Amino acid sequence: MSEKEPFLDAIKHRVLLFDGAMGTEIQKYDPKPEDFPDNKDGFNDGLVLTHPEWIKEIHRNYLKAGADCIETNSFGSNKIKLDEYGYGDQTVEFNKKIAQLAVEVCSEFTDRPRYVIGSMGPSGFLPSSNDPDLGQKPLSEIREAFELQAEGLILGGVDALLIETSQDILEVKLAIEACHNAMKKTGKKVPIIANVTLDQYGKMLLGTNVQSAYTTISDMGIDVFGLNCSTGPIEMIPSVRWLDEQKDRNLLVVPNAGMPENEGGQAVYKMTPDKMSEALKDFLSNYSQVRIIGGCCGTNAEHIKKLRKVIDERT
Amino acid sequence: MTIPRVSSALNAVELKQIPPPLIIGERINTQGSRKAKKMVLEDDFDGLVDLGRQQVEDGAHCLDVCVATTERSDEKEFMLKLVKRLSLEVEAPLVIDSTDPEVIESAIEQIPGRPIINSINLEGDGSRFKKLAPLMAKYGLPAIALCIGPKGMAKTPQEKLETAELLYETGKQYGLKIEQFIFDVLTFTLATGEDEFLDAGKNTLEGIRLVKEKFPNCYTTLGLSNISFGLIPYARKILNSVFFYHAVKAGLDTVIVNAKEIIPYGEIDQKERKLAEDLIFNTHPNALSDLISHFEKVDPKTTQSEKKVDVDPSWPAGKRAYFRIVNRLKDGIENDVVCAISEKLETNYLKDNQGKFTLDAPPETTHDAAIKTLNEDLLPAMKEVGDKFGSGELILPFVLKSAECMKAAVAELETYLLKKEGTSKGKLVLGTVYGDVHDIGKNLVKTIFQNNGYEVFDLGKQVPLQKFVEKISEVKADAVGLSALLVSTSKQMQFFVEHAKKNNFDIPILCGGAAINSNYINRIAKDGGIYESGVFYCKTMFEGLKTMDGLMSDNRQQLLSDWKQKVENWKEASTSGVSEKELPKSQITPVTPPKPPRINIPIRLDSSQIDVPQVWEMIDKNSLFKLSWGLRGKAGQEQQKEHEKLFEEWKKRIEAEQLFEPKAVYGYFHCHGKDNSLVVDHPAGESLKFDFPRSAKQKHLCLADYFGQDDIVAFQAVTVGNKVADIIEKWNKEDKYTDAYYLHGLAVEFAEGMAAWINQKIKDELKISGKGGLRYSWGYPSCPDVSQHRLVWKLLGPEKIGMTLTEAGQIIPEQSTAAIVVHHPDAEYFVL
Repeated sequence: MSEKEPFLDAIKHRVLLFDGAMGTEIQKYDPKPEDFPDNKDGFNDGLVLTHPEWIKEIHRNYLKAGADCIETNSFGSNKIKLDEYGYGDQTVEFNKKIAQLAVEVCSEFTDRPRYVIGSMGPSGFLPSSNDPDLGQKPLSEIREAFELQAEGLILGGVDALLIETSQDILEVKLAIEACHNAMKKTGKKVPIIANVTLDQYGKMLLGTNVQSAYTTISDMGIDVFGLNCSTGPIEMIPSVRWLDEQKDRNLLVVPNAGMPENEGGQAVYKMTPDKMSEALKDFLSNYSQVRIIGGCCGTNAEHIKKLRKVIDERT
Repeated sequence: MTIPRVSSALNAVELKQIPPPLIIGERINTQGSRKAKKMVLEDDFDGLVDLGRQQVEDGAHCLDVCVATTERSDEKEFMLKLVKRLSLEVEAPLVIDSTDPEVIESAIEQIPGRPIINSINLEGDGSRFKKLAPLMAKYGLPAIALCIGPKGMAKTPQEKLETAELLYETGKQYGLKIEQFIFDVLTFTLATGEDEFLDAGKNTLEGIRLVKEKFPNCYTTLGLSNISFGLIPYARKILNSVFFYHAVKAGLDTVIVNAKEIIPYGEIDQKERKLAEDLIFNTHPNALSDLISHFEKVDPKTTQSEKKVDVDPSWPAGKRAYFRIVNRLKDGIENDVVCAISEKLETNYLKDNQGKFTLDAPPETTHDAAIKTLNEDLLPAMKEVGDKFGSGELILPFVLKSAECMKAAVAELETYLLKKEGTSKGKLVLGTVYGDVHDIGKNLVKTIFQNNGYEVFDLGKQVPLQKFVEKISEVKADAVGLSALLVSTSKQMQFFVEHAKKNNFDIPILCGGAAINSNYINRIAKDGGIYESGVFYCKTMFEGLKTMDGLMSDNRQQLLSDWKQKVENWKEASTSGVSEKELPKSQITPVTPPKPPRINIPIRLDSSQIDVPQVWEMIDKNSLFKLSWGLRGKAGQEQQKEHEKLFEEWKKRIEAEQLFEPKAVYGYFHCHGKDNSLVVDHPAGESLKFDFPRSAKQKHLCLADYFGQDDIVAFQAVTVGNKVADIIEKWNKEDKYTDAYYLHGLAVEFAEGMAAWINQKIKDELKISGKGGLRYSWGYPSCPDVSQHRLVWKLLGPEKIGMTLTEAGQIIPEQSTAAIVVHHPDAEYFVL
């Protein structure tokens, strides 16, 4: 088998498509507490141990829908999060297993290169705040939590690391450092994608605007800067436009299916696959730095199919 | 990153500020401020955060943070706690100032942003550099780089440059880029009088110039107050301020300073300014002793420069209010505003309530006079402040202070405006656009609209597009008002219009702000199809009000269709219907180039080398009397004789007082004409491309047509000198408006005379007789792009004779001209 085109070469030559949401897809299996390891309800990442076939199927469905990249089911598998479920001391192994599972599914598809992206969600702490609970975690502990996760993901064979849904730009700094450290440790270099999450007014949870977020991390050795979650595509326009104007880093845009609407205490996402693909099509034609698109909360294989069409019709 | 920036948790700031410099507030520093030190010793974090916030309010872009004390051993822990607090509460990026690299490293790790390191150097074995450079590389941080090498501090300009080069070369090994260096070329006190330091001021300025010349993409900074260390406080303030002015002129990008300690150059007493300049430039051996003895004698409270910045009670109140805004004298402005309104009323309603003036009349009576006061006194004052900021004479902190005065003035004024009662005439959603923090203009619009019966929904400043959109639909607004002060942020207006078009909004858009004009607004209204509901340029808030009134009246449809027609007919000034590229070339064929006596060398002439009597002869008196002195019509003819006399008198006075300091530079260069452009070879190897427009008229001329593939071109630049501009300004301040007016006109014409004289000299040297050798100055139709001055500056270096360029490419001083000289015998002046 010939060598796969490296991820960074691929985004140079074409726009890559990510997959859609994981959490909402898992919900469709209607998991009961006993489906999770040690009956720990909500431990989604733990399904790799108890129901690997579900995760495989979700990955497979996205790849069938036309995604070039799938995200590993490791969003909450940094050491701090795993500690909550009692798996913290196995962080490296755990992440490795999750990555391998995704790599395995990808290898079923031979038509064109497919990539496994190692997902790294937040630690749950806000290191730059002075909050008595969330702002007191030692920085080194947060960095180490990500370092172990990144190490496992790299060993499991991911094509890139993705720091995502970030709420605190200081945590992103620590996570990027952690990725570099893990690469040094494993002796394997993989691209880093760093995402932040902005509200509808273009600011992170603690008030960081996109200019500041970008300035803070853009020269820390990242390969792609991205926005994911929190809002739909429309709300992201001003931020994406500014980022595109910098003509500097490759950009990733992975919005929700619209702004969440509250229906009986449940967040509901109502943007249809058609509307969503229309909006992202505009991004691709207006902002040439945008090299990766995909869907976050509320998106499914139908959204990804439409987005596939958008990309294919461009070329 | 393409544009070098630094960031806090809240905001990013560009290192290159326009106009310069980037101001780094120096007050959170235990080494320099007793107050800060006390706070550190007392664990007063609230106080330190307040100190930071205050400096930002006063105009600091970044904050220096230094918390080392001999009394405490926990510098690192203290630093970490403090930067965490500052990051959460103050929007300015931080400058981490410590002698301990470990403290710097921990602080960088803790800060949710991209800070600046203060500082690196190559002292001794270079170990500090070795520790900090990897951090700069890892996080992409800029650092203040002190010009200290293995041999110690750099003193001569050459040493400063060499040390900067060494710092950069060493940094390269760590992968550092030139944009990460903020060179401090070092400043030494001029107060010792030691021989070694006599030229220290001059050397620093020259050092800045050399470093910027060698590394145009680097940044520079200064610990300004070092220059005056050892002098008495008032002398320090003057010397620092004068030195600051010259340093910025030399290319200083950033400064570490307490902004309150700087006096704008234009406001420093002339005599004291000269004393400081003599010392800085070491013009004579007694410079230091003269300065010291002067400042020993003067009591700061009675010096002219302190006295000067106060209003003269004998002035009309309107002028007093104007003066207060321009000179940031907030106390008493309310009374002046009230008096200014009173002066415009026929009956005297003025009442004095224990020192606080009021008008004992209803708003119906005072309304018109209040509007007049706003238009004639207050707004022109803010305009002058804006102009001075643009020209670099005022730094941002002063502009903010003026704005405060303006706010106080407007608040007072509002009480005398008519509030139209009854139901609202309409709803306006208003805000300063995203990225822009300036809200004076917007607040004025709000006041005026509210006072005229409109309901205004003020979204404040830095308003994202989405917020406007939401508010508009929430309150069902009748119009939206967008305000922007900066060129960069006015782009948000374009985005808004695009968004409105795309989503088929039906809300009229009113735009205002210093950086925009009707052409800009027409363009964004028209690009990609006209926005049917209207995009209106409102030069003042009253134009905005008029537009709003029109939109809310029965004439709305008429107004919109008139507007639409106007925009449909509007064309971009430079494009004359046909695209330039489609225009046929002219029939001009190049001729054999003449042989210049010297090539590739700028030839500079000072006053002694310029034939001044001949220049006087070459002055176009017709133009002087009519254009510059405004002599017209019948009365003009009668006054002709008188003006001749006046001309002779002024000539004598100018010569006697040496008001003009004429200087010129010119040179010949190899060039290549092709299509619509002329490429000139810079001696250092760079190719400088001048694009010229082609005329749509019959001959289809373009300046490039006059040049062959291998040709010769001459450039010239002349100036009447900086002194005359200062004098005109001074006279204007002293109310000698007439004298200032005559001198200004004469200086402008003298510059033209000099240009003609140099032009003739070039013709002589090229042995061109009769036709040919025409000169074209930038700003005229055939040669419109004033920013091409920058290319000419690269070739001739006119900054060496005191001529600089504004951001837009205008020449400073104003009484100067530059031109390209075309040797072709058939060259003619043409329009497009």
